[in-house]
Amino acid sequence: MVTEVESLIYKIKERTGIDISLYGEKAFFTTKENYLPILKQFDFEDFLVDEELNKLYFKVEYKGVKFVAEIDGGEKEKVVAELILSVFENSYVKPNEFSEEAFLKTALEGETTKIQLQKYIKRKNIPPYRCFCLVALLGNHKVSDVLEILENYSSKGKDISLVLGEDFIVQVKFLDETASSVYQSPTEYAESLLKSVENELGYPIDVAVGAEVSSFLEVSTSYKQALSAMRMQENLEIKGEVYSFKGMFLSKILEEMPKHKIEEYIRTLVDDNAKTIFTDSEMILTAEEFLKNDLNFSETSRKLYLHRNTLVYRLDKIQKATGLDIRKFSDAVTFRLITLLYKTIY
Amino acid sequence: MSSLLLKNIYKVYPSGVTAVTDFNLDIEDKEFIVFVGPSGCGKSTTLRMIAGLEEITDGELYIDGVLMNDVEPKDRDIAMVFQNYALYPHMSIYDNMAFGLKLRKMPKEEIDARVQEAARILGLEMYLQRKPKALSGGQKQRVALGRAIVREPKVFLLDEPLSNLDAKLRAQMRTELTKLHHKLATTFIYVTHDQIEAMTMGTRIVVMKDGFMQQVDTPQNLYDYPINLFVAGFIGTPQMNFFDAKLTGTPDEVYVEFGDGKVLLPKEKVELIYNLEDYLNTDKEVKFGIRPEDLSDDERFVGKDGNPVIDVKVDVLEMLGAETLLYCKLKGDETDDVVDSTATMIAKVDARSKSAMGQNVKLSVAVKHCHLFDKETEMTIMARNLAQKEEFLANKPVADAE
Repeated sequence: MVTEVESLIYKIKERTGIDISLYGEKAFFTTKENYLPILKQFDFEDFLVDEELNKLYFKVEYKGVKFVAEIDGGEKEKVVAELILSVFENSYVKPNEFSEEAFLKTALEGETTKIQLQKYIKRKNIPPYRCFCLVALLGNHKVSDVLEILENYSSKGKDISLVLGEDFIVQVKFLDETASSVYQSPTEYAESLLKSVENELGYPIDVAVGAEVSSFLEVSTSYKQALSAMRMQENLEIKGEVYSFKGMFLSKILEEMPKHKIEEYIRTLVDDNAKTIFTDSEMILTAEEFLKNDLNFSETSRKLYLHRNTLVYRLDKIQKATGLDIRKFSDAVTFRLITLLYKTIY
Repeated sequence: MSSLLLKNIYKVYPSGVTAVTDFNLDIEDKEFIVFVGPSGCGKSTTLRMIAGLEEITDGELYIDGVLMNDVEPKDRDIAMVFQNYALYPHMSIYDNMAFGLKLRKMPKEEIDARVQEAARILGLEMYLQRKPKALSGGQKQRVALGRAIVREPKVFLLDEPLSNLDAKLRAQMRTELTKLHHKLATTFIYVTHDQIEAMTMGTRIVVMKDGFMQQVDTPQNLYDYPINLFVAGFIGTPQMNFFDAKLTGTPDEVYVEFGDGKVLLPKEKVELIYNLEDYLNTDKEVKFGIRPEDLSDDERFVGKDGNPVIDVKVDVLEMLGAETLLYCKLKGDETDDVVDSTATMIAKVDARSKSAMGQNVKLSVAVKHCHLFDKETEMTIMARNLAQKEEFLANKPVADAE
């Protein structure tokens, strides 16, 4: 195979005059004479431009083995790189067992190249709309029943539903005109679906959604976000009807912070006085309900059955102890961050 | 027939959080039961346990005498309606209503008959061929109800179904739901945090707090005989005024002393106090409760209707059209803390009231409607009637009675 790849880049050089170098996991091939590898950074998305050295790097695949390709040039040479990518793509016959489902799975996981995705979009007539991913964990419930309900929520021939494993369904929802006019957000769509399943089938399922992306080309981003939201709700025991990546974004950032750093922040932000608030379940419930109701006094006091004045009194107490007036948006954000820091640590 | 029995029901989550504690309720056929309480009180969790959407950690649930704990949700013959209409956007209203029946493989003719009948009941006949987006919020909620009706379930479970609607539509839908309940003559269990919905629709109301059932009773009884401070504060808008108080005087002439106020308790009220000797001229404090509507500033009656009078200063005045709310401070209360609710009392007076902000006024206290609670236990210390008091004293443990 080594010789096949080498002969491929020599063939390209022969016909186009373009020098190509390939960085593999354990090998390096180049059409240049006496040329040694110079690339250090392998972690990048589709392209990497090194303006200083006038090099353009991009990812290619040959018979399932991944390489980083290097050519001379910068931004302008990306077209050339696309052509080389296409040559690599078409240089061998792919095995037939790569079914559509398997392809979609690799696409969701971000394991396909942009060109492979573009080809799929063209072949399957995938609509050019914005889209997002929804993942559903069904527990012991019947996949076919939930799929039937999912189909009812789909725009015919547009949305893609995929069964991945015994109890795991993914849907790529395209936001055509109908969907955009009916649902304000992926979360609202997912809530409707969840309620329909509970209503029609009589059992609960876990549903998570990723954020909207501009087209099917970026579907893996939304899919990974949906998976991440599902995982986070399990770890953080966040209660909610639908788990959305956007809703858990703050938790995600905090989760990735080193524990000692979080403890340091808590020490700085929460003195003994403030601690009385953050360890008082009644105060925390009041504050969280106030934030949940968009800092709305009437709605919060109604939901908590508090006299409006009692609510004001408690918010004053919170302000006195923490220095944060959560009636103000900026202080409310800080308060939310501290409560999440607490949840992450304790 | 569709009666429900919830016996010692508990819900404990794996994290150890207890959402519902020892819930006991006997629901009769055709009742309209409302679960009401603040966020996180366990009302929706209880409803979801009845539906089978949440597992019951401990206790027993019976429907028509049959134990339901291990019965699949779809086999419980229950239909749910949520706040989220959850309509299929690409289906017509007819198909939306029929879908659940199709899933259950019901014959076409039967489906058609049921959908047409539900549409007739809900006034949706004209909209059957429309798509959901062509309907208003209220109409969409009616379709969601229709989807439940076509199943002809034994029990309807409704989880805050009107929360998505604006105030006007909500009021309209409240009456429609009550009519629907009468038409269908089926058991309804309704969850809400809105006490007006609870009071206007429920034949009985279950008030919940922190996972515990506080009181189960008819709306009128909840208003007249709240069992504890929480229920007293929850029922009624604006909520009942509470004052820390002491009972003084003699068994024949009992006074309630609070702040600078002192009112004579009518004899018929004194007779209802369970253990007067525990409170009369002792250190044991009580909470004196009086509803805003039981205070009056009408000069024609103040001091002349036989009710005691208290002196207050009007702090804030809210004119609501049909009535006026006076936010007052008791005489002698010089605090200037507008946010401290304990310093404020509210009187709901006639819209033609002549009281003004900053003015000292006299309020007549309709003390025959007052409430007394033990300050420590927060439970009422007054029976509804003499028979209940006698029964209570007869059943009192001997050691306690001594």
